[in-house]
Amino acid sequence: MIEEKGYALQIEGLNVWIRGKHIIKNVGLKVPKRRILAVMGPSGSGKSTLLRAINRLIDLIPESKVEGKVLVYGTDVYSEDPYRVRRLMGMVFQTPNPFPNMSIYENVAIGPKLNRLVRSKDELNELVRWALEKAMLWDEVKGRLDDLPHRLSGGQQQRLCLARALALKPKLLLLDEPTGNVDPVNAVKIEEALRSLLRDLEITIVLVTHTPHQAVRISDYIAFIYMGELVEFGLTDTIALNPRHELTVKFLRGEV
Amino acid sequence: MIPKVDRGFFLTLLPFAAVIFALFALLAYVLAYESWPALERFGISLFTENVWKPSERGVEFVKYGLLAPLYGTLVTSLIAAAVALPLSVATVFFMEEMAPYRIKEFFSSVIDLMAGLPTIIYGLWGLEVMVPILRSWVMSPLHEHLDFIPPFACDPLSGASFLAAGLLLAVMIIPFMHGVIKEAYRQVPRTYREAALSLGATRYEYFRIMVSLIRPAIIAAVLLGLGRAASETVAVALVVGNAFNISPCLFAPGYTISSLIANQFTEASFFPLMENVMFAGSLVLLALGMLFSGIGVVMMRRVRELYGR
Amino acid sequence: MDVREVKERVFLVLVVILSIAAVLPVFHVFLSVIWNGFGVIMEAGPNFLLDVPPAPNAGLGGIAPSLAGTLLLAVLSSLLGIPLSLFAAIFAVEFPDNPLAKMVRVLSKALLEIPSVVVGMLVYAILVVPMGRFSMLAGSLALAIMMIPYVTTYVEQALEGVPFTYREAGFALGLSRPKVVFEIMVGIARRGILTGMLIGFAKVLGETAPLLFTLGRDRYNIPLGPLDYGDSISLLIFDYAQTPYANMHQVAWGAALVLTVMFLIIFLISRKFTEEVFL
Repeated sequence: MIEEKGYALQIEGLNVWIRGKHIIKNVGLKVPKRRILAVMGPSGSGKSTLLRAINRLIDLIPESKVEGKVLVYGTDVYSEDPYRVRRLMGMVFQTPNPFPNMSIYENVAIGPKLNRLVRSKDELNELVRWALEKAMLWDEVKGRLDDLPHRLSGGQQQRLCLARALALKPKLLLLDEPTGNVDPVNAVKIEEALRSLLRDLEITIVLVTHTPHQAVRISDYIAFIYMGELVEFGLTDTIALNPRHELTVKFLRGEV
Repeated sequence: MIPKVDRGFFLTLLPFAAVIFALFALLAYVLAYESWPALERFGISLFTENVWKPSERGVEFVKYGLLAPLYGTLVTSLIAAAVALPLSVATVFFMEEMAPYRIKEFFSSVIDLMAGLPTIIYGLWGLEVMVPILRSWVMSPLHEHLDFIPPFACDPLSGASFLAAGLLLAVMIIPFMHGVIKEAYRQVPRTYREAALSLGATRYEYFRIMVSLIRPAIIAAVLLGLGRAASETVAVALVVGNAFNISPCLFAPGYTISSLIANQFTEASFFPLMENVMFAGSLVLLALGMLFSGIGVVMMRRVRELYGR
Repeated sequence: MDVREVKERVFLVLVVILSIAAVLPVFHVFLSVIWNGFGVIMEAGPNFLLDVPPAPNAGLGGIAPSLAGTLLLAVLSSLLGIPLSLFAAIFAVEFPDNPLAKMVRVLSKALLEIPSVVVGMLVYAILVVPMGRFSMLAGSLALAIMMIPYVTTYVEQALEGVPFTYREAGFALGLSRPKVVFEIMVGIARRGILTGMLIGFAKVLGETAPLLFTLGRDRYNIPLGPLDYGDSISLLIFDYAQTPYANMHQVAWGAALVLTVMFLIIFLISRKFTEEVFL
């Protein structure tokens, strides 16, 4: 596959097996830069696995096998060192998982610090503040950066995880149902934060969600996955107004 | 298969793991190498005869047979397991089913303390406190009134004896057996317990049902407890009396393999073959321990499989 | 009252009596140690910790070289045993499918089944005989071996208790495997790991049998280097309890109190660690 200019993420012929089970079946899609792709589908359809195949967290799962190509901003994910590749991407997980033993500040600082991306303490402080601002959390935590994260609400913890991912200035941000375990107010805040990221930064977002509303609300592209197959992929407006596949229609109506 | 990128990490940690492996290889080699001369010289009689004739004059003058320490190991461990078993089962039932929270917490702290307390402290207490008490309040009265029963037939001279060692060992292995039984007890699913109680069982009947449900674990506890008791060294050496003696009388002094080693190994290098004999003894000890713990582990696995955890 | 009820009552009373009987001896042990040891230490004064042991029937003296030996042995054996156990446990947890890792997991537990006196004999054969001398080093090695099963078990459990999601989060930040393990996992599991180290430490503090043929029992000189002969409080108690001299039995009781206090301190600290809620 040749890199096509303007695309942030290109997937071609992607297949994933875990313990012999075919989880992702021949998926291919392309997302232009600075867009939000919503990956939707019922639970167990392979959305999370697709996400983990993009940043190679799939490597952590024993007896997993991947075939196909993934290009992220032109980098061939499966022919590079996985650790280098992962640094291009940030990830936010379904359940907020800030490191429980580190302060709010350290949670954000750990990525740049251990990857040696900053040269001075001031630079690090600046970066932490920037990331927390981008995650729309700064105003709520600026007075208590040394607190442990369990003092924060679930939604705040999730935004902290967003800030942790952003501190590495990723080109591609992967979110695995980030609002699934978060109250509605915080869910809206996270969506707002994502939108503003796209406005201000050179970043592309892949968002896994099982709620069609969220997908329609904030994405530019939608990929609908069912039983590991890519049923439908296209511009959000097209799919929301005029879904071609019967399953997509049912899912949008909440019947699958 | 280790991914190429992690190979450095793998190779960095590998030596540490290899050391643990090497320790076992060394242990096997040393035990086999050191015991061989004794096994070759005395053959099976090393374990079937009771002789201890060291000599500095030369190899042809010595004769060893470990039957007495083997007998002592067996008797003291059996006493210990027999006494500790009902006590351990009782503490598990008491803590899991009867005791209020605070008392339960207190008991569990005390049992942890018992498990960790240095064995030499038990030994000193056994020698200086327990043995005199046992001698004047248990052994002497039993001997005076029931001396027609073989286990009570002999006069408790100093009090250091098979019985003293067995009882001290019982105290020391209680926390251990308690732990094994507790683990199994907690694995019995709630529904079984509720079913038993809903049948209108009294707590005694309930207890019997629970015991039957964890029977393999109780066997495991006994076996693991026996292994523990057999390998205990210094505390036993202080209270067992240290005499080559095979006697049905529990008040007589005796030896165990490990207490024999504790007492005589330091001087053993002066006598031909004596070190080798002790290595052979420890080989038997180790083999028995491994056998018991192997069966014990299998039993515990059965409990786990039975209740699906 | 019918038979069933009588049985029930007898049973309940019996359970309580047996439970109390199970723990009563340890209280008696503690009281005896305090009762006998306190008197001795009061009589001997602070010199008990600073002086060398007495000659037969010649006062109380002190246990300074043995005390120093016990502390040094605990430190030296921890220096040997803790890193070894920690890295071996990390190896077992990180590469679970590797055959050697599986073996390490089984073997490190199997060490528990090796009688401590046999560990002493092993070190005697592989270190004392070739070097031609007893030493603190040999004693420490024997104790380090005793420590391995405790520390590895706790470290393995602590690391395996860390939820998978933190591992994923660490790798998602682009961190290398050693960094994920040492900066993230070990940090989150630190309480369990520390508890394991403390328990290992407490274990070796009171061990006797592995030292019988490795240390040399020099209780008149404080060991200054790893190749010096040494002594431990536990060995001193073992030897003095078997002497016919009353003053030496007294020293043994005083030493027992010192050892018990040291053990209790470590015990309470490790309890504190486990009590605090795991975040």
